[in-house]
Formats: sequence, C-alpha cells, structure tokens
Amino acid sequence: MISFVTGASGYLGQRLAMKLAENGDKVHALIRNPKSAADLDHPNIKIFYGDLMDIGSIQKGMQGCDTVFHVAALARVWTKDRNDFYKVNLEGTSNMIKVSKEMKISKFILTSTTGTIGPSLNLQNNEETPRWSSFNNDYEISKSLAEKELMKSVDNGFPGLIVLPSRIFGPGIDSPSSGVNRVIIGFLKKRMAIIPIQSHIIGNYSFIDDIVEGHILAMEKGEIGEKYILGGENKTLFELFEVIKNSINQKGIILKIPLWPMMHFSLLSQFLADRFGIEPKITPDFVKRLNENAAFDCSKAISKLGYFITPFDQAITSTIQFLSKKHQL
Amino acid sequence: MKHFVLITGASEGLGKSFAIESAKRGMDLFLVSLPETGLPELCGLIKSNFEVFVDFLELDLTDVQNCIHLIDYVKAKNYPISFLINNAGVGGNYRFANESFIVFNRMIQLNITALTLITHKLMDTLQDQESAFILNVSSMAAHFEGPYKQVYGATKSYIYYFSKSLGQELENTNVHVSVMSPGGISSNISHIRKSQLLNIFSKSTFLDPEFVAEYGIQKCLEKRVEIIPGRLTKGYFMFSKLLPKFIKKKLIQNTTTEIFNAQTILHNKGKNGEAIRERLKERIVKNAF
Repeated sequence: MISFVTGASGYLGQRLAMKLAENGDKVHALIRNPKSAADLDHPNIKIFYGDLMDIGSIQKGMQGCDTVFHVAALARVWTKDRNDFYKVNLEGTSNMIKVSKEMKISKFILTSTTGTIGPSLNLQNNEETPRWSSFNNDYEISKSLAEKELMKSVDNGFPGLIVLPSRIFGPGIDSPSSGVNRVIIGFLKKRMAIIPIQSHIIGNYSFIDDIVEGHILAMEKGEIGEKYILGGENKTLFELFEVIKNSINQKGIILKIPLWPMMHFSLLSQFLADRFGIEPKITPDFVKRLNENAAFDCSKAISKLGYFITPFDQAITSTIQFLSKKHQL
Repeated sequence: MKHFVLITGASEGLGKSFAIESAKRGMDLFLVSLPETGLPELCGLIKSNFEVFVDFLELDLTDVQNCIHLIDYVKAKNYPISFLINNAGVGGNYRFANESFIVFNRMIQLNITALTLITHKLMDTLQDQESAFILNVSSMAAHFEGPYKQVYGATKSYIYYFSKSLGQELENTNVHVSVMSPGGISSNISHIRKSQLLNIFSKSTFLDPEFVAEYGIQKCLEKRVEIIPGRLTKGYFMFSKLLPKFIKKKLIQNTTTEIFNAQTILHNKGKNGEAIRERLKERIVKNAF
C-alpha cells in the first residue's frame, strides 16, 4: 500500500510519514521546502516537491497511491495575509479532493482540528456537539469550511473521513502549532511561566504519537463520512502547569495574572500586526480561549478505532526529555 | 428569582449567545427561530449541559399567523415568561431602487410587526410575574442615518422609539424595558469576513456575540434603559454627539458606503464562482452554522 502524505515537512505530517515508513508502508511525501527532506530520510519515503495550489504537483505525487493523508494546513494564529488561510486550508483541500477523485483513491483522511467544534460548556464536547460559540479566527473558519467541503464530496460518493486532533504536544520537529511544547521550552529556559488566574479552565491535550497512531487506525478502520476526535486527557491549565513543573524536576515559578492585562496586550499586538505586519505573540482570540473550557470526549475513536491515550504524566515526561535534549537545556 | 426567558431568532449569532447566556444564568428557556437552522440541536445541547427547562418552536415570524401561533402555544402551555428578548431581525445594505420590495417587506414584518405583536400579546403574561424584563435589540444604525440602510435603519429606529416610549409608560410597574443598540457583531462567518474588509476604526468596534449577549442581559436585569455594548462603540457614539452635523454626516456616509462595498465585494466574488467566497454568502453560512 502506498500512502500520499501532505504536510510531511510539518510537525504532525513528518511524524506520520516516518511512522508509516517504519511500519513498512511506502510513502509519497509532499513537501515545499527541500531543506525539510532531511527529516524524511527513510528508504520507504519518496519525496515530491510541490504545493497544494499546484494541481500538477499533487497529481505527480499521488500517482500510484491508494490512500491519502491530507495533513498540510496553515496552522497558526496569524499570517500577513489572512486570505492565505483560505487559500491553503480550503482551496488546498478542494484541490486535494479533486485529484484524489481522478486517481480513484480508496480512502482520504483529512486532518482537521477540535477547534472547529469549538469550546465546551459543562459537558465534554464530542463529534456530534453543535457549535455554540462564535468563530473568531481565520484558521478555525477555514478548517471548518474545509470539513464542509469534504463532507459535501462524501455525499457524492467520495471516500473521505475526518480526524480532529486537540491541542497537540510531544516530540517532533520545531513548530508553532504546539503551544504546550513552546511552554515547556520556555519553562526550561526561563524557569518561569505565566498563566491566567482563571486556571480552572479545562483543555484537552493530546500526545503526538497517539495522534499519529490515530491517523493510521482511521485509515484501517475509520468509516467513510465519519469524524473522529483524536485527543488526550482533559486537564485544567493549573494541572497542566503543575505536571510540567513537577516533571522538570527543577525549581520554577508559575505566575498567575488576571486576563485583562493579557487582553490589552493582545489587542495592542493585533493592532501592530494588522497595521505594521509585526507577528503578534498573542492574539485577542487566544486570550478569549484561555477563558473557555475546551474539553473533549474521545470515546468514539477509542471504541470504533481502538484509539489509545498515553497517560498524560508519561506523555509530558517523554516530551520534556525530548525537548531538553534537543535544545540542550 | 428564576426567570423564564423567551428569545426570538435564537438559533444563530446573537440569539444563540442570548440562549447560552440565559442557560448559564439558570433561566428556563423558550426559543424560537426559522426551521432548519439547528434549533433542536441547540436545545439538546443546552438541556444536556444545564439544569434548565427548554422548549422551542421553529417558525417564520415574518408571517403574522405564525406569531399568533407562537403566542397561543406559549399561553396554552402556561409558560410564566418573565423575560422577553426580541432579538429576531433581518438587515442588510441595499440600493433602494434596485431591490425587490419583498426584501424590505420582510424587514418590516419581522423587525416591526412581529416584535410589536409578540410584545403586545405577552404583556399580560409579563405583568403577571413578580418582575419582568423586555430586551429589544435595536442597532447603532438607528442613531446614524446613512445610505443603503433606509428600511433597516428605519425599522431599528422604530424599535428604539417603541422601547423608550413603552418603557416610560411602564415606569414604576413590574415590567422593565431595555433597548440595546449594538454596532457590528461578528455573529457569523460572512459578518466576520465583511468586517475584515473595513478600516481599522470600523473593524475595532466589531464585538463577539457572546460578549454582547452577556452584557445585554446583565444591563437589562440591572434595569438600564439604553444599552450600548462595547467601550469603543460607546465612545464613538458619545463623541459623535459633539460633532457638527455635516462632519457627522460625512463620517456616517463613509462608513456605511464602506460596509456596502464590502458586502458587494463578497457577494460578487461569490458569484464569480470563487470557491472560498461563494461559501461566505450569508445563506449557506446560515444553514451551516
């Protein structure tokens, strides 16, 4: 079996491509930057240079493949031109679906995000939870529209399904898409972390290796037209930082501050970003999310796919080991 | 006191946020919105997350018969409505001469007739309660007359006058009337995309529906008569009162024209078959979210 993996130079895609290759599957990896090829050095991986906007390059890479993992996405809080989110995440997905149809692909897995389901109320969200909260960022909007696009094709017989990772962390190449990794690196460097006073807010934190495994399980057992949340344990911000602090085994301070200075700072950052193109450290949307629960229930993936969640403490410990070695901290 | 709230237009945008916010405050709910806008799912979500009573009807309130049906239903069930949020409304920016009267008539039917009829027919129920509140959703458009908003702005002015007048009439009774005049709300994807095309000043006044709903309910229960959510919006509003008339007119014209152009851009790009923008057209988004 040959799998086509997009975004293979990214945090999740690289790990997925390597895992598939190690399992003995052949992989066609689509990447943009030749520098990233070094991270995909495996006899089972064949590298194709291309771009989601370039249909020809997709066709070339997908030639001879049976299955597609569409992992590539613009996954960040801000870019200079916000239309890029729609180009990459929506048009890119449409292009992928189009070529997959031509190539008669047998299964197409779209990697989306639990961000499309949005924040939770008192209960944990699952795949069926309707979205109650407004959309505030282009990333989530574009991914949500990409999901709709795929589901529309599924209605016309396209063999697609969707996996939704939550907040991802764990070993892998450097990436802006893991906030937890960045927090850990920051803590290792500065021995300090700042969290909001509202530290009882719950989030779902998923280990990258579980998500990679979840993708492969979705390919093997996932049903067409279904969505599967690939998450981890639900933890409050306070618990998250406590576990990080305790696992690092070194003294450090967790500073609790109210949300409003963060909000003002983020508004200023956003203004500077919009006006002068300076990349914001935090955005108002991010601060808003800090004050909303985002608990998720993965029981569908567990029961239907055999998805497994690595215990949180264990996952954090191995992440810290990896990151401190990598960054020599 | 435990409130029983009736919210019109509850399935999306500000109405949905009103519903969630009311449920968070432990109020029982009766929700109304158009069919096939996800209202049963929203009610299911609220019921499972909060220990409150929820019932709903899916109706098109531009039809007077449906308004009457709604009232008959609520009365037959003896729901002790103590909080009425008249949120349902339609808007948009149109060239008066180019648009079909159907569009304008819908605005008048929903924003004026339905709101007045429902409030009127529910007065006795509200007066029967220990204390009751009416929150009517007007708009900043009611305070700034600009082009392309002729009918919409006029219906919102109606709501403003109606609320203030009724509020005075009911002063020192158990029924309080508030009127809220929000600026832009990023209530759905098309509004968000539209706001992105505006200048920094117009953009900065756009607010999350969650914030507007929380603020509106809080201030209404505190018996504030006029509610303007958002410090910036309130600031502009106060400031505009100090400006000479011709400057104010010019500013409003610029902003309204900008919004109109933004809407036209999004609309036309959709028409040209560009996959992204097409999806942004209001109706599709309405059905989807």
